[in-house]
Amino acid sequence: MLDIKNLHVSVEGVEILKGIDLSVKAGEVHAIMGPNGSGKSTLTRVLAGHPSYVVTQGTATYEGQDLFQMAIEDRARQGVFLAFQYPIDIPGVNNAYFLKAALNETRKAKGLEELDAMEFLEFLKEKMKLVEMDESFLSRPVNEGFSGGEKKRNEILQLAVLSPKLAILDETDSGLDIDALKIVSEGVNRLRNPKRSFVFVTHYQRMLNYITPDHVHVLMGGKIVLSGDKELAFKLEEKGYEWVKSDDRPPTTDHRL
Amino acid sequence: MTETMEKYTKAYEKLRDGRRGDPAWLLRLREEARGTFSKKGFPTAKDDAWRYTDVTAIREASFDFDEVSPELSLAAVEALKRESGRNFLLVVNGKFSREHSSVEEGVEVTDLTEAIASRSDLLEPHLGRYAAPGNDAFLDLNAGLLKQGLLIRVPENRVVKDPIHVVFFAHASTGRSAFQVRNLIILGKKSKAVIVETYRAGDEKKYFTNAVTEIVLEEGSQLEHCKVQREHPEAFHVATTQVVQRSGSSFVSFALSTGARLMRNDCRVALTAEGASCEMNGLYLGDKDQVLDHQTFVDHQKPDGKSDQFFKGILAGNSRGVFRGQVRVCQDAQRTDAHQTNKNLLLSDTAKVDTQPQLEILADDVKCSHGAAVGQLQDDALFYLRSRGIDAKEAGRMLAQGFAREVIQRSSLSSMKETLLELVGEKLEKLFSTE
Repeated sequence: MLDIKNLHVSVEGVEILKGIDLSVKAGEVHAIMGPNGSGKSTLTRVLAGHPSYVVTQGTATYEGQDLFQMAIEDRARQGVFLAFQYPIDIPGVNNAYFLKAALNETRKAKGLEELDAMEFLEFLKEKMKLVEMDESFLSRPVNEGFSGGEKKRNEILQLAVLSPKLAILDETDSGLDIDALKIVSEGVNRLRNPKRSFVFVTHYQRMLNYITPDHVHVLMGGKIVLSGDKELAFKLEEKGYEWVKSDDRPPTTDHRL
Repeated sequence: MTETMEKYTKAYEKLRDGRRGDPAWLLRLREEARGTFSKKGFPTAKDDAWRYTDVTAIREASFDFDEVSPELSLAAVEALKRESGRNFLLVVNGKFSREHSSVEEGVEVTDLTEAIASRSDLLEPHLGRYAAPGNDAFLDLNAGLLKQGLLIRVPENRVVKDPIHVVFFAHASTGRSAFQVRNLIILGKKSKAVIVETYRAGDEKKYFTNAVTEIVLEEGSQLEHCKVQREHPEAFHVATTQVVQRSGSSFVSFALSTGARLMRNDCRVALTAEGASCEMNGLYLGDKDQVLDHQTFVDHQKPDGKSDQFFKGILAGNSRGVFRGQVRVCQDAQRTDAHQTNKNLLLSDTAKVDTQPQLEILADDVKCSHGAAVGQLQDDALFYLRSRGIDAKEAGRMLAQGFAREVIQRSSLSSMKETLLELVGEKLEKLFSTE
């Protein structure tokens, strides 16, 4: 589904990612962990097409296409979804209206009929149950005045509505209390299926108590320095990121690196 | 003397000679107005109130002042009626069309020409007293030719249920027609009404609308006033709304401006007695070479008054916006609460806005604030919407619509919000299809 090779990315002339290789197959869940400033968020944003990030070297192939040649909206329409670490407020734009516009764009791209207001509302109400969201959210402007947890739930709701092939979650667990974390994680778990892949980026191991990844990668200094299975996450939680740099660490278990 | 001025003088003389029987106060009003206008002429950039907007195009367009009284097709009138509702008043080229108008019982609507003949006593204390001669060239131009228009009077304690829609229709212009529009609105004590003034055109010719509306709000009355300016893109539109508020009265207004090549809209409110409140909202949407100039003046003369102004602008192409908001709090006007905000969204590098708050505070126990902002579409917000599959143009349109929506939703208008949102939507479609 996604193949990243030797990816180098700069922001305002400063190189943040220094040669990333990552391969994600359909249905897989990858967790990317790492300390602050290691380049985790940069990786998610460059995949979604944020204009501030410049790819200086390397490639990303998504479903056989050169991802970096695709416009931001085309990536989304082809099934790439980024759940933002800090979802943006859109004052004056009603949440339901926004979701409907977004859904219909992806439906058009798939050659499906657009949903009308009634059909959409039915569809949306189902999806809202997934993240235990109150209907009052629909008439409120996108993210405006939402608490941190509400914003993150709104991101997962969008994920559920847009039904992407590749969902990239940027620190979705940060700023969530334990109840919200459970709701969000369960939402993600229910959205897992053999055709949908997840890449989620996190600083802490705690989200992995709820979502079991197939692969765990450690990103430090702009490179993936270690890959393994879910056990690696527990090790990291126990020993801290400093351990990765020490001699005591185990050899890489992921042969693709 | 410019050609326009010559034509104006002739029109004035013709009116004077033809209507010698009008009340003496009106003859004096016209004479005074004509006198100052002939002497001072059109304003220039040297006039502080006109420093941002150049009216050379009006001065040199050689407009004429002849009456144009076209027959309207029934289909055209019906179409206008459908959009308006049951209280529908039609004014064509400044002349009230009684035959096409209807209004619910209890609202007095009189052709100003008739009122001049039969209700001089009623008009004299108000007409031309608030928007008085000598203060502004376009007011003078209008008053010098004053003879027709509309008088709307809501009696004491009367609550008018449905909005009163007044459509000012410019039609069959010679391409050089200057239409003088004049209205007097009087709300009696404790009465309540919603009045919507819509300015629009029936055909494609160039014209110039010069409108003056004087509004008197007696004690405890409440008026919601919408002014919708959707003139033809080649038209010139200059308008003054002059409001006088008595004690405990409330004025809520919304000015939506989407049309005209050049527009100047003044809304001036005098809170002449205690405990009056005024809320003024506005939204201007410009593209191409449009110039949309809004000016407000709130005069707090007595204690315990409130005023809140909230204006927003969205400007694309080479368009220009102006917002100049003046607030004066007189020495006597203690415990005044006055606020003003102006926010602008520029959609192109060549669009421009001038925003200028002017506060003059002579009382010491007051709460006043003002703020102005000029910005562009937020990159982060655009990225967010695009990352959900919405293309760049549509994302921009949604953000602009959201920006505009705030001023409409925030207002205390009881009706009209949906209509305003629709008109804004239509204009934004155009604005983003040409960007």
